[in-house]
Amino acid sequence: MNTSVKMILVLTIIATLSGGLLSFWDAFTSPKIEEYRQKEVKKAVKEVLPSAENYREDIKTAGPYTFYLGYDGNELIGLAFNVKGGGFQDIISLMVGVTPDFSQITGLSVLDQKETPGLGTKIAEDPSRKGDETWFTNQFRGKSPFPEIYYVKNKKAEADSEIEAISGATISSQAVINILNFHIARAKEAWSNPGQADLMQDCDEKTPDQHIRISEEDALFNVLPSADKYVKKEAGNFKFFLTYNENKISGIAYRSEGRGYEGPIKLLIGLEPDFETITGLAVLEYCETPGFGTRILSDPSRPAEKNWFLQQFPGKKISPALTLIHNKEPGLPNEIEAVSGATVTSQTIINIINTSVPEARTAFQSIK
Amino acid sequence: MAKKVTLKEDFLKGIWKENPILIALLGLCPTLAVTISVENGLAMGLAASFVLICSSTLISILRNLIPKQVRIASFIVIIATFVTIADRYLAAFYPDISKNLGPFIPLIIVNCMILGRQEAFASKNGVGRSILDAVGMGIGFTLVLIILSGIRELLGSGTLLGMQVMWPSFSPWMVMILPPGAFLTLGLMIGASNWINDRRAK
Repeated sequence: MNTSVKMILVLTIIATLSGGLLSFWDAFTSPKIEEYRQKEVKKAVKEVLPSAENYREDIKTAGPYTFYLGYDGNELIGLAFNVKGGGFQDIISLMVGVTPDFSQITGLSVLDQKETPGLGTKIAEDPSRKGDETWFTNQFRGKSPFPEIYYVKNKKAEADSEIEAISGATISSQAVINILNFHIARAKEAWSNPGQADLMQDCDEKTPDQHIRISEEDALFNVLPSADKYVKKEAGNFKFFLTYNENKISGIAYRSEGRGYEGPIKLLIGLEPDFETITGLAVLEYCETPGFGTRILSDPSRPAEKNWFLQQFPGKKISPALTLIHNKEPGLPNEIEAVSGATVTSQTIINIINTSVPEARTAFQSIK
Repeated sequence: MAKKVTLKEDFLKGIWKENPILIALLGLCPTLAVTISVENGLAMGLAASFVLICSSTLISILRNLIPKQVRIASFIVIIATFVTIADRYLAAFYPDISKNLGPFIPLIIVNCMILGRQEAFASKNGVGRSILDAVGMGIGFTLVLIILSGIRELLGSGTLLGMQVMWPSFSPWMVMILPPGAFLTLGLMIGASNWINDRRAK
């Protein structure tokens, strides 16, 4: 027989037999593997929702999160969900339980980790503390995840959001805390606003430079003229940052969001106390189309002033409403020039401001 | 009579004279990486032996059918098949061990010891001798892994197979369960085997 034909024939036969054998073996083992995985998840859910009398197999998905619901009778008393993030060496996967309002952690369990044996692995099991091997995760029970969890070293954790770090495994301890701080806040958002949650998932799959996120505190300096000292106040759906000048409110900033072209756009809007004049605008989060929507932050066609779009806002008047104009310099104090190629994104930002300012003003009256 | 001695040698050479780890220095990656506990070492040794024995058997049966141009490709497909079987088996029935060993079970596919035995022995010898060779090599590989992981677990965690054996005040040597501990212990074991061989030769 021709060698080439023989080669092809032999390899084909071997590969076919191998494939057949493996598909049979897979059918045999898959149910067992899946069963074990389910058991692990169930065990972890029970562990992190200790007070759920009859944990019901209710699962609700919102964006990237899958929530397991814990009930006491018919009352929802806790949510458990799986979160993942980078550890010292590999991904750490956690199951975290919270009260339905996300104000308290009810339990934490490590599903998977590949930290340094003997050091980072103590986040899951610490053999040096006999009888209390899971002390690290146990201490999260009852802690408040907001504003954020932080760690202390070599002393007992006391405060509401304080966690004692593992000595010799500070990075792994910090990694667990970072994962929780990031995901609990986002899961809360996804839980209370499932519509946004789907967009959140789309955004998560995009590249990091397309998906921008900055914190409110960092942005505050850009939207209020003097933001060295600020006070946070909540009213209605709004969280206000207030700056004072000789006991009088000198600036107000608040967060608002809307749907952009591809995902949510979150803004921090700075205003004079009369809610009439904009003092500044910052984008906290967006994931717009690279090269188009992203021009609202960085426009390559105007290299000298890449963020000119946002720079237009300080001094603009909101009443009656901001108006988008195209391809000409704005003349009136309520006109904003659109970014060509990013009209949808520009319009979204205008809309967010126009709709949120009156609502924010009403909410703000209640503080006064 | 002479033939019988050869068969015995086929079997025994893997355990000491041509031990895959101590003498041939093959398959060191899993050897160093997974031997932090005896349980891991034993599981790794058995999984690799299973793959080795099955592959050697099959390949020595097929040795005259496989054209030599595609022999390596055929070996790899056959080895990969058995590795996948072992991997799924562990994941289904010993999930904790499977979790501990992580990617090192799938990586048996590229273990030089296994491919080496196919190329050097199973593809040139009969089924009976190939099985003996594979069993001997598998035992040699597993024994070294058990000893290596035994030393590391004993000194690094103070336990053997998860049971406390060192006195309570014993403070574990952290370095033994970290990668340097694997290199140090393996180096000393190879040194010791060379020393014994030298003494014997004299």
